[in-house]
Amino acid sequence: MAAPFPRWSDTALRVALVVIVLFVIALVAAPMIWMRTIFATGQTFEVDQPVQFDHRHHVGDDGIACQYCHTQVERSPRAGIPATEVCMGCHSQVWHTSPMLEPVRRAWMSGSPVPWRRVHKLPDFVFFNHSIHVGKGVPCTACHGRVDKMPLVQKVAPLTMGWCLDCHRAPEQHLVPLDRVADPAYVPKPGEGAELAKAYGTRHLTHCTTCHR
Amino acid sequence: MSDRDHDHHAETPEFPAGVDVAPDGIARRTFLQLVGASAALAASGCAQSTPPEMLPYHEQPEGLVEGVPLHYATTLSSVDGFGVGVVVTTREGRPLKVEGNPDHPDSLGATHAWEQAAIWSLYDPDRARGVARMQGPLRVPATWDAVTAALTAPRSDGGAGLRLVMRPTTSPLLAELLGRALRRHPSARVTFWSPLAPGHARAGARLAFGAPLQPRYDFGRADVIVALDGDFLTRGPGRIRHQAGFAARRRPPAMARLYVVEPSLTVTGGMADHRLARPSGQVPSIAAELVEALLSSSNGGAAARGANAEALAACARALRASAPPDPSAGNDPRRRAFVAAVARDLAAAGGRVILYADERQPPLVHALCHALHAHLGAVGETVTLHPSPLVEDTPAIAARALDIKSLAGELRGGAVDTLLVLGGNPAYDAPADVGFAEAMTHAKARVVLSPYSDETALASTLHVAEAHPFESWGDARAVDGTVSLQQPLLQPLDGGHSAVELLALLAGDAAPRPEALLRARHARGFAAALQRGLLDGTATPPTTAAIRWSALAATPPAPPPVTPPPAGLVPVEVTLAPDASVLDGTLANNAWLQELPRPFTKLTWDNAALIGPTTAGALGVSTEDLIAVTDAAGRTVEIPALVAPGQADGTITIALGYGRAVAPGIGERTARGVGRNAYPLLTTTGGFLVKHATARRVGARHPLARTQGHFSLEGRAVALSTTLSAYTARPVVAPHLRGPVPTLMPDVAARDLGGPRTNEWAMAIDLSTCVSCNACTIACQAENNTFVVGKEGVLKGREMHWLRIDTYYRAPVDTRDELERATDEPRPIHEPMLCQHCEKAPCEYVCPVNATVHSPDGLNEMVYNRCVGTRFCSNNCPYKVRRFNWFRWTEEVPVNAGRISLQQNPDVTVRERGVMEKCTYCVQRIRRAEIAARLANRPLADLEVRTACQQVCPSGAITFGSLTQKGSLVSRAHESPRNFSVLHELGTRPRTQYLARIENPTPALPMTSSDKGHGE
Repeated sequence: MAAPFPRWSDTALRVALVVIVLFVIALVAAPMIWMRTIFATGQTFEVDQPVQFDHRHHVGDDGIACQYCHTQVERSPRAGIPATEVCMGCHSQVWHTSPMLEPVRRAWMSGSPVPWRRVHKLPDFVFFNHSIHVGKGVPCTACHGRVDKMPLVQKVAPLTMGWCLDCHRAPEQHLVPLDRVADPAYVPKPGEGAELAKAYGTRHLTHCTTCHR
Repeated sequence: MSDRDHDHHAETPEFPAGVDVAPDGIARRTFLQLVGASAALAASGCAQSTPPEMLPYHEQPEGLVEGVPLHYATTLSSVDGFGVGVVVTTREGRPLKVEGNPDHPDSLGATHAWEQAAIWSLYDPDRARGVARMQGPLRVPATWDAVTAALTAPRSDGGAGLRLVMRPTTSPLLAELLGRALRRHPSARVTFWSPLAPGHARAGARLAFGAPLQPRYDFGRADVIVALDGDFLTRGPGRIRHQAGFAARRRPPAMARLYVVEPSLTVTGGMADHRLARPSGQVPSIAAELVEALLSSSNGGAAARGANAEALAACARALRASAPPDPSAGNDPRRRAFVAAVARDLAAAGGRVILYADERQPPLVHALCHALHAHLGAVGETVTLHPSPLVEDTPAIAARALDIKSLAGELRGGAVDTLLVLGGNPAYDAPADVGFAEAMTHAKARVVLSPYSDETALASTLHVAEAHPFESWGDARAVDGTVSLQQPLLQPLDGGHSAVELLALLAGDAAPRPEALLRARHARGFAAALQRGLLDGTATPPTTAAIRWSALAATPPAPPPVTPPPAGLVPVEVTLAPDASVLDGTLANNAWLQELPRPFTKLTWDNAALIGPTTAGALGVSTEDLIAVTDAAGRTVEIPALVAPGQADGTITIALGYGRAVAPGIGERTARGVGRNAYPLLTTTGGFLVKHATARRVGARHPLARTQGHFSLEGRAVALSTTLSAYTARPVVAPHLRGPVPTLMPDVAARDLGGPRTNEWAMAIDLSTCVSCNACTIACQAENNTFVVGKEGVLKGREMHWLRIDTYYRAPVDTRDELERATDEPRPIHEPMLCQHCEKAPCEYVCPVNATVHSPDGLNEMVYNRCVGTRFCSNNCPYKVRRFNWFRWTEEVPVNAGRISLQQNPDVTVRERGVMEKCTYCVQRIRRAEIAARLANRPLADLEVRTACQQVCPSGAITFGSLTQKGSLVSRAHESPRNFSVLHELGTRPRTQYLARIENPTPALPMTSSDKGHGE
């Protein structure tokens, strides 16, 4: 009787099985790898804004402190972005006819705000509180990077839960003195973080309702 | 769940009808196909999605920090016109939550359910908008100028054809504006109408003192309280303060004693040490019997001495003469013993007594209560008298007041060309014999101020949408006269206007500005009053007034003769009661209140005729059978019956406020089709008491959605109680229900949960002081964004309340015989049940995805974003406190979507379909307080964190705090001898513990049931 299957059927079957197993593994691994790439976290992509607000100039050159514009960061869960009134505080006199600031002036006159594009956004089921972080020695740069060197703000940290937990499990790696929280150039001395953690009574909060309520 | 009767819980199907029916919509196979296809498409999409927009303020509002709440003090007026000071929490300009104002004398930091629900009514999508002319049923938008023209136009008749209808109010500003309007139109008249207005109480005070003085009760000082058909805990002016004072005297050792006579179980009756279930019509003769017992020689001494004794005896005779013949009085040994015990206690209490009667009772009963207070020396001790704060009692206004029946007569006579209705809904709730809905159509111009297109608005010519109290300037008085201000929290959402504006127009002010008017009225201390919520120094000192004994002894008119009912009909006495949720119907569109289970019946989205077992047997009906109730004039109401424990024989109790006539598509859509209208039975002659009514079976059935269908404890030690004498003799309640239980699980205290211990949150609920007012249930709903599931949802047991109040009857109530025997004293006990935050939680170790875990500070955490909806946790929970989101409630019940989302608390996740939820001990409040304390480098103080339920409870029954804080109230409560855990034997080690209920029965009256209490 003639063989129903050609000789290469065995090999084909084995190859097919290997491919299927690899496919199933890839089905799980591919999304996991994808989520950790910058394409999913949005890191390093500069986000175009309706007004080219350059932090290098305002923070680096002019020396304006973070809290001048982000006024609520020490009192509120949200850092907030400045009201148009804050921009116009200077720009009604400085560069007040500049075409680059036209959208700001138009927002001030019309009452419609400038539609900024959000760079750092956590999912809605995360209740992040700025004030407790800023108030306990976590510097702005720990999560937002060297904003004073950014022409356009970009996300430098992945802001994934694992990344947050890395610090929550070992906060002493990132703590700075409270008066240096908004100083982007400050580099903590070795061991300073551990001392500060002890001084502030920093806890290692990893239970769920710390952030998820 | 939906028990038909108290008889046969064993026959109830375990799963209600319909729970296994798949929801409408897409089938599973199609859904999976679509999911697969869309996943494939999504994977091929681009890398980054467009970042969302972020909009800053134009100018930062002063004092506003995003994410930090601002609190404003304002006032809510109850239906009887008295003010309750509240503090409203706002976020970014949106009012979210109502709390009591700790400084206000009639709030003391707490609220009842209606104040909590007021925030929902603010965002109600069915509110009417702006001004409109009514052309038949059509609402044609008009402008404010039309209103101005109608009301400011000068009149040539001096106001002879002008009539006003207002709700009772204590507002000094409205009094002033009304005075000016009436001076401008000297012949105009004003009618103060509300079905819940305290007419009989005021008439009783007028009878007793010659003036409508307002009594102010201090229940905290009373040793003996007698409620003659009166629910002082949740009804009437000062109810929140009453509950706080009463609760203070329900804890051992210095306990008060409460006697209640009532036809139907009320919140007050549920707290009674001794209860007598008798028809309201018998209460006058019971009161007469009480007076005679007080004056008799066995209670001799002080009570019988003095000239007053003669007058009191005459008053008792007058009461007997005014009441219908009471054949059962002679043959009622329990009633005799009850009255004798009350008299004995009253005589021995030395003036620390309160007698309280309900609006249903005739004025003579109220006057008798005043007389007995004077006679027993309670005035100045537990009762003080104050000038009436009601506007209608000021002499200038009272001289121009008209009752609603006369007004209807004038309308029909064609004497009225302009009718102005400032709030209220008289076309719906006026007495049936007045026929106001028809009468008002005789007026040429009918301007109606109402928040909805309700029955009265639809009969108007010009309908002005009424602004919500949170959108209006105003003021109100408390029982003691303290003036509190009402300030708006936001601009009117629907272009509404207030009564202040309309009255100002009528007074001749063409461009009224309510804020300026209020500021002018209370010029001194205005700014401080806005901060504090009340004006200092406005409380009126108590007055002294002598009882007019001769007036009390005057012979009243004889009662009308009784015609025997036709054969085949069962004679009943119908008691009309304001509903525990919707009151007189003004709150009928409030979905939160409709879904709030009424006390004892646990009924939602409906009203029912509460009947006793004997009457049910005579009618041949059981729960959910429709009956037709007809009064002597032939007016009929068809309504489903509900066999209720504690319902007096021969009586039917029906709640008012239902059966609203709502046209399809307009007006109050939530209220449409809910319940039956009982107002046809309300008459000016009978009031809330419909004597000589009959009932018969109709033959149809109507399902009733109740959240609890089984009320027996089955002999289990779930809700414990004992008597004061037993507790004093042996101060321990249930030693076997405390302490460690053998278990295989490791001890929680030894577990390393990742950090140093700081707080250990726990709660204690005092069953002695929980009255089942339901404020906690609705406060939790407001705080935690809990959705409404509608009647269908409740029928399937899917209500989402995180906190429920379980009511058990300690007397057996399963068979008809047992129900009859327990009519007087079914001995209810209330147990608020919420997540117990067990240290060894059975829900935690069955979750396949670790969505529920334990925090280091003792909370059982629920993480919505991890939950996949296996529901194993709810399966394992022995307390059944976990609620599952079976549907996307914003789609299933449309009222949950849209504008109402403005009320939602931004600190709490809004749950989607398919996740489990439960009480979190208000973790958002805990974290917020902890963060504030840590930023300030100070420890948390006891009671700095208060859960929503704890904060709102007028009794202070709920205690919450940290067990690690030395001397915290909750740690003391946990160590109290009254403390016990529910289902302790399961070894769950719950952090929510209970304090057993202590009752104070008199040894003179034996308990009517064999159940003498647990835990001894």
